[in-house]
Amino acid sequence: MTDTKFSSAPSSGADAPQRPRSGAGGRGLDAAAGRWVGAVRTNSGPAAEQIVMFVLFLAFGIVAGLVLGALTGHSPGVIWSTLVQGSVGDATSIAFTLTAAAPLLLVAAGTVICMRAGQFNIGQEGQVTLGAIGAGFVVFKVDAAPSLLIPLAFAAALAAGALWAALAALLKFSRGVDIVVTSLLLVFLAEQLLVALISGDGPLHDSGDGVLGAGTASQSPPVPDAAILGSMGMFGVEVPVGFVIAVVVAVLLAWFLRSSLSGYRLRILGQSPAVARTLGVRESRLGTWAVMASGALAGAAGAVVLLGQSFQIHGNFASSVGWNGLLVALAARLNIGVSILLALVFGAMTAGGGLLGGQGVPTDLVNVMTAAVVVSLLCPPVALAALRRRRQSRKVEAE
Amino acid sequence: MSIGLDAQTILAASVPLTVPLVFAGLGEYVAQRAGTFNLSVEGMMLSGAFFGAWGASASGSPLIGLLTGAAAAMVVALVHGNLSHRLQLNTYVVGLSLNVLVLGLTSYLLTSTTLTLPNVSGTRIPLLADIPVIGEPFFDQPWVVYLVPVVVFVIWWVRRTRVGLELRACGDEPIGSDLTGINVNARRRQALLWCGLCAGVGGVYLSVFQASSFTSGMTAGRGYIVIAAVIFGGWMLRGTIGACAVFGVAQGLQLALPAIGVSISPQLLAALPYLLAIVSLMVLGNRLHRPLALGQPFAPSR
Repeated sequence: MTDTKFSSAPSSGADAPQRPRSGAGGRGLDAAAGRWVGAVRTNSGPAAEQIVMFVLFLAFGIVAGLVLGALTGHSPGVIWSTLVQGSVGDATSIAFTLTAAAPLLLVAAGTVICMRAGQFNIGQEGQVTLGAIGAGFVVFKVDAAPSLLIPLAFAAALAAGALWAALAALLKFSRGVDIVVTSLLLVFLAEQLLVALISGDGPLHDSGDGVLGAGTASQSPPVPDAAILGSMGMFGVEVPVGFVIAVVVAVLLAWFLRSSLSGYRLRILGQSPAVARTLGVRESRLGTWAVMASGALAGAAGAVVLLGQSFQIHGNFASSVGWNGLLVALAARLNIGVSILLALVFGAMTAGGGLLGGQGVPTDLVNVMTAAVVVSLLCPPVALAALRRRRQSRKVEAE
Repeated sequence: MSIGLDAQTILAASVPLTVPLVFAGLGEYVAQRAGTFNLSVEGMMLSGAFFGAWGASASGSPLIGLLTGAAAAMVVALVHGNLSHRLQLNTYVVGLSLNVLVLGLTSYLLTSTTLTLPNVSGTRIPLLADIPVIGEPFFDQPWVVYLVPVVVFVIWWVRRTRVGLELRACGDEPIGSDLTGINVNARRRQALLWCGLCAGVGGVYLSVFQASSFTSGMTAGRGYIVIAAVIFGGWMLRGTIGACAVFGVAQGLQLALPAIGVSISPQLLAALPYLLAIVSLMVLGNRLHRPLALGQPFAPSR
């Protein structure tokens, strides 16, 4: 059992020097969260068992949602077929699924990067918001050539998301405030910032151009046509550009984590800050970069949502993409490949959920289902550990 | 307008908004002192609000609503406690996903139930309610409000007992506590249950006693404000209550200021709790009484 070494709490002792200021020592919220990251990564059994468990618990989450539907008087068969029809039924549905999956995947990929570096940033929702604000300022305020509009918007979104995340990193490494706490609190600051910007006197408010009755709602103007992310035809499906970007980024990041020197140092930092120190990795620098990278990706997700999905900023325009992306990464146990798969599953549920309303089933059922999937996907390590223990005790008995 | 009348307007708007924060804050305070950085307090409040409204609507009695709501919130706490302090799953992940789960579940169930809530009028406390300015806002409230001092007293008293000491020991020194024979994870689960009870009552207050209705996602981030309050209060009982009061007044000002004729950006007031919490962490940092093992899972050696 290698995992207990990380998941138990050896806080004080010679091998974990106390560094109260950075929060990187044995104590504090971040250290505890970081230890969990170490546990997640070391806690792996045979691949076949893992896959079986993953599928089993994924199915369990979905079945839980169907059971809830059945209990409230909706036929599980109808719910299931509607979900399938709405997510992969035809080319349009598949395009919907991919559109919904793209921002989730971007957020999840960023989350994997920072958490693998031991930085427990949970403020993706706020970073998504900031990304959308950055992109919004470009598409609504900057008078650029139409061909430059999208690249500029993405640059602004990346920068805004990264800087918002950097605030949390700065507070951690200069003042020793746990990043779990600050990144969480910054989510709600971002929310209020967004509301201030799109309401009444805000610079992103839609004044309605003098049209009668317009300009009263707290929302931004619609995104101009030149800035809308299109799609490209592949295998008869209009694949949204946002999804292509997300997959390319995710694959590149998976390669970066696995094969590059910086990725290696990043993983060392996450697995054991003490070892990283002896190898000359500076947590304050590499950790800040990792957090900023995750913020930038969340910001990009905000731009993808704004330019490819909602086409307008209003309250909850991103419909919790940040939270859900974070949960995708955590349920995928910080593995980018699994994140791609789960983002697609979540995207499929969102797309299928759109059709549920037509069957008289409230769309919220999908939210219950995704949350149930997340909770149940947390369980495979526990189940595997229990399985291993039983096997071991059986072996002992046999001897 | 006189200053007294303005103060009364502000207080009248603030007290109802402070009460749910104080209830949930008193729960979150205990959970955090025992070592759980409990994010699911938002979900606990929401489930308390919905199932409280459901119980009150089904039975016609606010008291039954209070009980069902508190029980539902304690179920959330039970799930959270068992997943993170028995199966050792990461408490942040469990907390966040429980919040999403409860939000989805309550919104879903809301569409298939019709709630008719009994009207709860204020219980006037004689004499005290006649005090000018503060009398009306403080002593002419639904009866559940008067439970606040009771809960505060319970916590104040339990702190001085063996149980309270053990709870705090679990938050500060789980390994040492384990060595002295305390079942750390059991104590943490109990602290979470208490948190569920308090947050549930706060939620029921929101739906049954204040709004007389339930709307989807009606807690609107109050659980996170409560977390900010525990931090801003420096993980102390009086600090937590004070912080909840400050944040409640900040919310009340959003309603009261337009009535008085003063304009401050409502978004700034709404952002105030989070700003204050971040600034206090930044400025005071290590001088706050943060439980030393906050958020640290404890796996007893076998």
